[in-house]
Amino acid sequence: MRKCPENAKAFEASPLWVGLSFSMLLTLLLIAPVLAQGDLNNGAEANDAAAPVITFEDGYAAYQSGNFYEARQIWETVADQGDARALYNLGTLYAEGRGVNLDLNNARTYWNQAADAGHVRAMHNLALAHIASASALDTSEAAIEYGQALRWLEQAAADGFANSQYTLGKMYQYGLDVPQSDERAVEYYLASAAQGFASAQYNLGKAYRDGRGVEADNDRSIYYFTQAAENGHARAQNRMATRFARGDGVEQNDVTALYWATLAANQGDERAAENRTALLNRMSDEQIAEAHALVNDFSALN
Amino acid sequence: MKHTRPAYRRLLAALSLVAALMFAAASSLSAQDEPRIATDAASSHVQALANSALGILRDETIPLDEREATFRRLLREGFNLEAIGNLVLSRNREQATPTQLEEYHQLFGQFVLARYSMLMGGYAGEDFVILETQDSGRRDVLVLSRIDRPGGDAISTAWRVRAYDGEPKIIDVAVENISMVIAQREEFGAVIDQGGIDGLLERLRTQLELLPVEAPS
Repeated sequence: MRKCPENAKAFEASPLWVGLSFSMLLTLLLIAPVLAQGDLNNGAEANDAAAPVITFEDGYAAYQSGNFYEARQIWETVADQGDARALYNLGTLYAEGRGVNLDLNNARTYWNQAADAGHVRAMHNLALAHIASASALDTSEAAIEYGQALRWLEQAAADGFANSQYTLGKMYQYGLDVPQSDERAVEYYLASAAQGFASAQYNLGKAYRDGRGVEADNDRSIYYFTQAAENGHARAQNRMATRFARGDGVEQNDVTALYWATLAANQGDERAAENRTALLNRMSDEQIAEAHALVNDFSALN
Repeated sequence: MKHTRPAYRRLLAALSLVAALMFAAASSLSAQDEPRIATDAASSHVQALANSALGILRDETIPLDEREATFRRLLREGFNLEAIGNLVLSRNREQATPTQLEEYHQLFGQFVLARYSMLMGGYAGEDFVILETQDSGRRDVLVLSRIDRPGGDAISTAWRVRAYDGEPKIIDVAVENISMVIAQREEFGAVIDQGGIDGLLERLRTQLELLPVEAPS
């Protein structure tokens, strides 16, 4: 934030001077961002209009090219201007060790700044960082970390962030620093699932299957497992493969089973890979070709 | 009168014993006594993996996250992730239930692949050079390499290769003399000391759920 020029206060309340002062102040405020950009471009010439403006987008372009060091430098410049996105991305570079030594403390520092500025992704990652830290602490220290996680998750969830709604659901499902409640967990899963969050849909599939937090309902279980599978959730895809292979709650269909098993196996799901092998061994070449065509269609759309 | 077993029963018993001995030998062979992979096979394996990986990562027409996803599939083939997971877990493996162990291997595989893809994602423009190979211990070959970076210091890497069913698989990578297996073993050990296996699983789950960088809107 640029301060008001101190000499703006020096003039008395004569209408002429007030008008001139206000005009000067307004002019300074209007050109301040341009001046700031010029100052932050190292080695910029006195003619600020010729100095290149470094943007958040420039940093992202460097990142996409694999130039993580350059991306960090650019985002550090942009973050100095108060861009919360740049602060968040810097935290993520440190959390992932891209262009820097992996440093979760630095990551948390940047995410804290971004979260304080209202950045929901930063709130979410910061909450996850607190949860991860809690796993290596004793009970009393872990409670502090979980408390911080809860604070940021609730704020992000209230802003409608699906990832945080899902994670809050898990905290209530497992009673992590909150009273264990399957019902509250389902409420959060439903909010997240409504936005298409696959993991929440998968957990609802399990909740309706097992009657946890809701009344058991096989049709709704299959509905949510299908939603999750269609949104790319590997374990949901494998569950659908198993159901169709056995005709469990659905009409038995090996082609559909192989389709789901292949999608899950392609994501590295070991059980799905085993299921796929078993299906390949009992299906005809025509059935296999049909399933593979479906897989290609899915891949093309996603 | 002494009852004697029919001849076919004796034959069946003999065949079963032979089968059992062969299975035990095969298991023992793959687990402990499998011959060391030839040094040129180990070197070729690492070079081929690097060539394919860098080819994928250099294609800037494809978004970075897609390049890294393809790269991870490639790594999964070239590494023995289960063996690495066991090496990292080490003595703590004894306190894990079968269910915990299954989830650990699933999460660990995703975790280590993500780490490597992030590490290599920034090296797409560099040159990968194999320097030499060395026998290491009874079963391994070390493939020493260098990643040359224009305008930056070269990065030395060492790839530990072991034979599994006659195929070379990477089971550890040391970057600037820091072994990934040892580093992860220490990190995971600290987590297990405080939170047990469940604590480690929670740590892995949350790390994998961290959101990536934000793109411009």
